[in-house]
Amino acid sequence: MSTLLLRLAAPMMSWGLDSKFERRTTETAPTKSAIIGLLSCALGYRRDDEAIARLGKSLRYGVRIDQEGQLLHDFHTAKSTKTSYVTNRYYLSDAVMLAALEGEDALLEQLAEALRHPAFPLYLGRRSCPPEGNVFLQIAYGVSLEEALRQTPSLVPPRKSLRDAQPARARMIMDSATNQKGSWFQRDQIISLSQEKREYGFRSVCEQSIPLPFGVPAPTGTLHDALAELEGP
Amino acid sequence: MSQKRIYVDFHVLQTVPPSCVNRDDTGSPKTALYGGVNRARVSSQAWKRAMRLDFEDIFPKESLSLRTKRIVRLVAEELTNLGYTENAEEAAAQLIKNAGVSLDKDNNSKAMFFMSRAQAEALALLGLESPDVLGAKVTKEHKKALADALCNAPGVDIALFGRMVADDPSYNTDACAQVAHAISTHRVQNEFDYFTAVDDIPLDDNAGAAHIGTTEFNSSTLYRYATVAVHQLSGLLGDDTADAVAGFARAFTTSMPTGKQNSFANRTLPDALMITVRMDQPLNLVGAFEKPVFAGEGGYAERSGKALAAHARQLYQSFATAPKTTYIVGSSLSELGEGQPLEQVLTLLKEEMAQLTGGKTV
Repeated sequence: MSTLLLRLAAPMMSWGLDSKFERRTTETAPTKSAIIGLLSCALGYRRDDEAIARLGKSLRYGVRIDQEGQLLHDFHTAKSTKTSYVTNRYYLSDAVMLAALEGEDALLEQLAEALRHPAFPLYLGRRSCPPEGNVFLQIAYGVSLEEALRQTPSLVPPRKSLRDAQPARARMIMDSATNQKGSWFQRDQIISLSQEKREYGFRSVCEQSIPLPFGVPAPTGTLHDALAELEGP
Repeated sequence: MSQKRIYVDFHVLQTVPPSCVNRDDTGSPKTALYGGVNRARVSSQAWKRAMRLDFEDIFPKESLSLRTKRIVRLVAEELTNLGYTENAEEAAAQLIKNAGVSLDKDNNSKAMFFMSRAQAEALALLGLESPDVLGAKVTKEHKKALADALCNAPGVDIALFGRMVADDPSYNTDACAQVAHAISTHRVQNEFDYFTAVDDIPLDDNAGAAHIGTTEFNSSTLYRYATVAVHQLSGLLGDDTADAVAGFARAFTTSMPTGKQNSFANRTLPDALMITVRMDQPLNLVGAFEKPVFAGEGGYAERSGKALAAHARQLYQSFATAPKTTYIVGSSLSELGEGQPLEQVLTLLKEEMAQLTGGKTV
């Protein structure tokens, strides 16, 4: 068993869970349905393909929130000549997530290849949210889901804060056993993404706060240091 | 599933002067946080609509769709054009109901429906060829024929931007294009214009204004990104794919949403345009501006160009490969290529698309 690591970063992203009709909210971390959907998109599965549900069952999922971002409300209108249809859509702006999927090596390698040559353009929850840079980070061979989330260096550099004594911590949300203390049910296990009848099953998840390891920066494109300009000679 | 991938990415740096191109429910220009810093934003949907409106000048009428509740009228027009002599409105309404789209008592569809003229014509033809289709009840085969008429031959705009039909999700079409929210390359703080409206016939004893108010605005250099999955588009449009991509390129480059246009006259063209053809994946370069650009002597535009070029070059040497083809318009991206006139680039792009999809070149 190995773990596939994805870097999900963009000015805007949105992770819907149970929104209906005109108010579309976002969770604070990617749902499993969003990630399985992203992978299915890369693989070229059509919406009604049963392989999507099977993919979801073959992978354990967890995510570490390296940068929480901020909630953004978008006032969205669709105009006709006289009327205006208004929806309220929420996004997370300026967030950076480390998503991890544990599964068989061969499957992970297939997914890595698909992410580098996606059949459909990828997006982070909504089509208007293309990922920044590369999504595929690396495959951690022989490393379990939890180990990978705890050990992969932070995707954002350490914050220079006056209170440097406090080590940076990040929230980690992972698949868990149903009887684990503090776990809850989240309805994002894909049963079907068919346009006629979308259906999701329940997944047991647990959230923990873990220390965020800083080390050799993860192989991404951008590393932002907001205070670099202010550093003295 | 074919393994061929053809992604055309569009990167635009465009400076807008003081303006309020896209505002929220309180009248403020839209914003977003990125790299810890507030940015100006123009929503994806605002710019897509500006492009759709420009499509009317770019593409022939027959290849476009109309987003309307009055689909009955659309189909009725086609029926009449094809020589239908009886009540075209009634027949059109029946055809549409039989296809599974519900109408209200005024014979309008409940939600706005995206229908191409080709699809309206296909429905009308079905009505003329087999009058049973106009009956109150239809067979399964007829229903399938009607459904096919509404799904095939999507207009260029439906193929590029997709379609959602709440009544019957089987009519949903996935978009081949993706347009990101445009954000400024630098920090932006919204400003306020305090204005007064003075009465032309003032009273002798009152020199005050008749109305006072404030308009919120900002000015910025925006990074705008879009991508088209050409391998998917060619499945829907066939020989017309190359024209569609070139038309999309023109609309994306030259359009501007009309928010507060009369107050600010902000219609500008891009400072720089880069179109890349990649055979692997789309590559959004917004990361160039995660660290916000600071205005130097060259303002934001020149420095944004340099940041974009540096970021692209860095990516091509590390986590991605260089694109198959790069087209540049404008001079601020000279490190990535020689600038050419827009018309030339669009012609070359169309030719390359025709070559790659095996389609025709005009």
